[in-house]
Amino acid sequence: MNGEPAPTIEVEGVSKWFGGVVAVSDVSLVVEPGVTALLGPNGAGKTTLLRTIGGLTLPSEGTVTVFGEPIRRNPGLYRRIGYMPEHEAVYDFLTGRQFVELGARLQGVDDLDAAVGRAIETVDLVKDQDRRLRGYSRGMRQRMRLAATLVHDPPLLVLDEPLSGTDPAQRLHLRDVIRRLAGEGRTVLVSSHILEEVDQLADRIHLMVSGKLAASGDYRAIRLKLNDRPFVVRIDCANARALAAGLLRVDAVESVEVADDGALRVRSRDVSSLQRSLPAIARELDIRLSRVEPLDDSLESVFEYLATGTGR
Amino acid sequence: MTAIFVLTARQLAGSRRVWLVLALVALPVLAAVLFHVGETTTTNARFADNVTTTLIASGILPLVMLLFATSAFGNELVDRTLGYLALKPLARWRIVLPKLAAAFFVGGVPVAASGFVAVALVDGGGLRGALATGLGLLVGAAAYAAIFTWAGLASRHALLLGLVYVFVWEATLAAYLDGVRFLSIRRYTLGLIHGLDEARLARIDDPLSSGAAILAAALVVGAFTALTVRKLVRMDVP
Repeated sequence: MNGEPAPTIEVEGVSKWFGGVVAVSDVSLVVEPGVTALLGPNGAGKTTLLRTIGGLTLPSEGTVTVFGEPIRRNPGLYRRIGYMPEHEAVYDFLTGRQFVELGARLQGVDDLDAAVGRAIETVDLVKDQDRRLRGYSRGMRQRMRLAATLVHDPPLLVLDEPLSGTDPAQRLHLRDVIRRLAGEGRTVLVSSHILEEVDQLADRIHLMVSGKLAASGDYRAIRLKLNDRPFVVRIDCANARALAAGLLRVDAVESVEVADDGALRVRSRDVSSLQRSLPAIARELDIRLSRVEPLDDSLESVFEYLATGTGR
Repeated sequence: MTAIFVLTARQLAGSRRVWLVLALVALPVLAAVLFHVGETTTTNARFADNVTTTLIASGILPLVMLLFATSAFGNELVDRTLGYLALKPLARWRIVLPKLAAAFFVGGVPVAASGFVAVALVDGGGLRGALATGLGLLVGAAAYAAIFTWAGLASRHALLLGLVYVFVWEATLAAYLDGVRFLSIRRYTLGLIHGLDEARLARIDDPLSSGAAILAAALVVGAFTALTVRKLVRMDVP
């Protein structure tokens, strides 16, 4: 015993496969108080891992413990967990308030009215609480689901894509709510497929790609890895060959190709250096640039690079 | 458990299929009214028996229970809302029992009431036969509710399986094969009605005693409720 408190969630060698498809492969991680983000492209296995942590899915291999206890066949543990699933389905014949009340009743909350009122106030939906959920926008529905998730004031919140479907203002508000809940000592595990979304939100990020844990660290560490990867930019301009010759003088440029359609494909490893050099060279050679577009900046490409060391 | 009962009852009663069910439930009463206003050579007792066996016990009761009980979990599996119940600190039987009760209440009680009213109308206000019919149908509804609630959780093809059970197993195999005729909820229902009022259904072959019918129905309810709880404990919740 070293006196350190046990982590809130411990995932040990968890794999999950559906028939021949491996959704999660040998993932081990711990989650401690504060906000932890599970980041990865669609299909990376985030939701499957969260569902395993939440006890909705039985892992094919490995173990999950929450507050030191196994989650499966242990319904009493849900008093201490608020889990918001990814899909947006709700009992849409209920009003927002009735939906949150249902969650509170099933959790056995003592002061029901006060708890429901507090949860709805937290997500800023007091005005709309008596409307049926079927009339809610996607973002409002998402916020009311969050209210139902935290109505029993659990020390652990597992939120699968909580910001999905929200507009920028709601996104900022929810981010503040999540930060505040974590600031009160809770453990919050959120998933997202947008790196920038978890900036300012998560203290720690676990990056998943193709069912595997590709990297762990804070936002800065993950961002540095992203900036270090090679990338390709397409440039349309009036004189491609002259610009190609000019760009090859830049150290950060690894290669330049002139494509059949006359566009340049520039491969570099230093985003900011290319960003500084390109306008200067174009001005010097008096070449007009009509289009500059990153070709492989999709999340899948970024994540694949982090997972395998090779971009597309 | 009340919250889940109310939630499920609202889900079931709020679905579009409730109009079909209301139409089915109205049929026996309509038949009884037509019997009274029209001219026929059939006796009251015979007409009441025909309505009970052919219309209600063989068709309306199993169909209505099939539609409602398979939806008790089936709707939540399809729209993926079951997680809202499964992620709560509730033993699984505390989810299954209120859902079963809601399916019974929303489907079984109206059918039993319909049978009661229809037989009472045909009998000219006599209550014994009507009560026997209502109680027999309630017991049958409970057994159907248990089987079809389990089927709705265990299979994506619960409706089809239920139709096969009702129209292949009960209507043909269990009706004609001695060896399996006790594995039929329809026989429990009719046996109990006859047991409670011997003047009713006197023409059915070798009816179960009311005690045997209640015991068999109770075994079905117990066994399939246990299977449903077991399934919910072991399954991956969508």
